[in-house]
Amino acid sequence: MNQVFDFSRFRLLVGRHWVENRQRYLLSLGATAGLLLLWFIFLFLMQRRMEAIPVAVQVGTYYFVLFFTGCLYASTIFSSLGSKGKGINYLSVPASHLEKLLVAILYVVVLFFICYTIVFYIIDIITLQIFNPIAKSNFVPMHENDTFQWVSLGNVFCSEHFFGKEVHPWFMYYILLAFLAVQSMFMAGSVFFSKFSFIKTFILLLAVGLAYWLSIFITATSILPRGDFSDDGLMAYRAVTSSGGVLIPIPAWMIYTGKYLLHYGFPPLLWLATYFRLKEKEI
Amino acid sequence: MIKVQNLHFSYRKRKVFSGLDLELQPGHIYGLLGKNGTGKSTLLRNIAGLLFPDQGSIDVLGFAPGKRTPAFLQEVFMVPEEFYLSDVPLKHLLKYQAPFYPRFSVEQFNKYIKEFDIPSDSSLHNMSYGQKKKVLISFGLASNASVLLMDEPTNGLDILSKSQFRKVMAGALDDSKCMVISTHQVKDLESLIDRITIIDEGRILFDQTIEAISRRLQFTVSFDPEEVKRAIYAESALRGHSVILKNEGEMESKLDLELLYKAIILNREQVQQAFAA
Repeated sequence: MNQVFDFSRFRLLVGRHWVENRQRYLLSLGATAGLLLLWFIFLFLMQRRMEAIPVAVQVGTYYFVLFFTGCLYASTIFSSLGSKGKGINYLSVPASHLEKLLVAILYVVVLFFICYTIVFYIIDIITLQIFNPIAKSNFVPMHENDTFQWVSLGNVFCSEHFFGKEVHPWFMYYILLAFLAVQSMFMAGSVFFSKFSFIKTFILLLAVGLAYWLSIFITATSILPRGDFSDDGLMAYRAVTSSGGVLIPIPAWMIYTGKYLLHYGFPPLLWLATYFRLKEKEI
Repeated sequence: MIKVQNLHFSYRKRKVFSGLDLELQPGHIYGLLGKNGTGKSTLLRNIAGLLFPDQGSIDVLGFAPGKRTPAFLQEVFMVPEEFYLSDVPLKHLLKYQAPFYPRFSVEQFNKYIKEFDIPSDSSLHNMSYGQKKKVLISFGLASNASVLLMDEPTNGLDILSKSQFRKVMAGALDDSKCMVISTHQVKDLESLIDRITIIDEGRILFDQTIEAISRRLQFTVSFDPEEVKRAIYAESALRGHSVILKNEGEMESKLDLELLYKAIILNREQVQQAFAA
């Protein structure tokens, strides 16, 4: 029998995880659905214009709740390692560390995303079905040409609006990749920090972000000539010269490497870190 | 079966073991005794691969426990003092947990829980701590793992359950298995274990089979002041003195583990002399 990965063992582990956690998971999904419903009702009641939830708000809500609940869930996936009894129970299950990690990824990354998206759309569809007719019946035109706009269901994966700003449709793809990276960091946090992993990982993220920006600006002010970064973010530096300004772009290879690392590199690296930490975990 | 060589282990600055050597063979139930904090549970967790030695090596059936490979975990089952079983019906425990152990016997499991008076259609959700512990012990025995490690298994069990435990354990041992029971409740295991290992200050203080102990030592109640005087260990009892004497006439006596334990802790040299002779 393969000691690294065996499909029948993996299948058993998936089933075991479900049986042990299904009550908590179903309750959590129900609570998420309830909160989404309350939030949409609140927004509908508080608005001045009588209309159902606008697409931009639907998309914004989807991503805000996705990030919050996704990271919260990821930070609990290895929480059993924080308690002696549960930790011994978990580490003693005859399955490899890789199988245990893959089960965590399956639940945190794949199944959570699918279930949350389904729950979101169920609530979104229900609220639109209820709010649109109410809004229509209460519609009062402000101007002569005003007509009632039926709000449609937002496509959260291909939207041109994000928190009131116009964005490229690919933007959502990058947001999802960013979510995957952040969620993977919280998953790693749950195995690195035995207690309060969500808060600790959040503080770590803030600290890393702050250190990153500080290092860039310290480097920029001490090495580069006077100037600032252009509107393209960190892609080009605009140096102030006597004759105006010179745009110094970062080499293309560096941009591509950084871009691919940012988009696709972080989650696998964080999963690798989680794997090794799990391997060396002691109870 | 289990070979611990030159084991060094410490929790940050607190040293627990410095050069511990121990060898455990199949077909025995070992009693691991010692004061609180002497490292009994730490030793078990090192053997189970839950803690890693700072120095030295542990070999369990040819496996390095620290790697926690599935093949190793199938062969070693631990009943920890602080344990956890998810609140699922017993049938789910059998469906989702038992298949991880290739030699698991549902028949044995049902037999053990019956002996412990636990209904097979019950759920862990409604069980007390003691009942859950009995389920875990039954599960561990039914897994037919070659090595069964138990940390204070009788804690939380009532008087009747303790005798059920001894009965179940005695019936489960065979020549291929090695059971290690760590406890400070020595009375609970008196008739069960066949080898006693006492740990103190990170080293093996005493390691003998029950047979050797019975051959070398005599446990009796004495009213003779002279006999009490020359005893290896004596303590006043309700009537007379409970004493441990050198067994010079190959007399048969009932082993008093608690008395032996005290003798080893308080009068180790004399006990060792009795075994050296």
